[in-house]
Amino acid sequence: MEVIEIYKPYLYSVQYDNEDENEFDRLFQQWNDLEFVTRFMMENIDYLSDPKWGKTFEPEDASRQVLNEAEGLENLFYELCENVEDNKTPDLDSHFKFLEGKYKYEIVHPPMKSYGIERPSLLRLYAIKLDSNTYLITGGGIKLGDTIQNSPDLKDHVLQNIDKVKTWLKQNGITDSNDL
Amino acid sequence: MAFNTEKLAKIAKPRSEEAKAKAQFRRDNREWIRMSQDIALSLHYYLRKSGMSQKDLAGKMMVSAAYVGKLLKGNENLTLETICKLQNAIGEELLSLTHPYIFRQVLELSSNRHAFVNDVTSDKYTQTQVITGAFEMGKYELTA
Repeated sequence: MEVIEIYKPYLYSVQYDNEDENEFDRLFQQWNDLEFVTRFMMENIDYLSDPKWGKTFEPEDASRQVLNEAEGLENLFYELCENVEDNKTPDLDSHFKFLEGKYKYEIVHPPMKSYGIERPSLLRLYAIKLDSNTYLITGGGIKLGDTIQNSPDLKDHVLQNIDKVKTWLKQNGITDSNDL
Repeated sequence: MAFNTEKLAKIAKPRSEEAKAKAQFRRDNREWIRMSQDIALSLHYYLRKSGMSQKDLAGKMMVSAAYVGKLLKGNENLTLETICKLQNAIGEELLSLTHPYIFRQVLELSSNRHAFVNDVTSDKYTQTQVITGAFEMGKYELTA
């Protein structure tokens, strides 16, 4: 596992040993890959008929939303971090929300989530808050279910990876062992 | 509670040049990529609904199936000729163009008309309003 600087010193991303790219760039490349996105929606077409979407959600419509949200979210991080005024930090704290769930009572280096730009959003990025306006992306995906566990693109890796990264940070002295 | 900034700075590696270049490409080419994706998504939809295969579409367009596969990925900078070929092959319109020289007119609207038009905020007795599109025209009556 490695840590990659995305927008140093505010936004970092994990790169897992079995991946060619860090999670931040891997996900944005995937979410901009129309072939991947349309295939994913066709494979999970049953999730698109859920009443929570409030409309008839054709796979192509859902794919368009993923592409839109990816563009908006990638641009948001770029604008926040690349256009920082002197002696200021980008306001990432306002963007990330607490993940809660099994991490509900973790107040030190808590796992956080980022939504895409539309509501209800199809995209999620997950991160560990290292410090004020300092985040380490641990993963993400397309959220089609009501929970991580009910979402085919998230259920097998999101929580597992957060736990793995928290342990790795402690072992490498980036966070205090007492924090965890 | 401590977060070791120095340790993170020491251990973190720079983002790859390839990833930065891809992100820059997306930013620099956003408009035409979005149009190409829209055309590809419409094609996906029509093919799925009509049951036409990519091979059939390629035959109708007289291009290779591999080329149709490329179009469906939504990152081809299509020519107008290719778009017309696609439209003819599927029998549907993929791009609609506006014709501002046909519908654009300047209308004199009386204050009475304003009450029926949500997007007019002026309380002046008369106002010049530029309206584009035949659909909009139905909302108004020309004053003498």
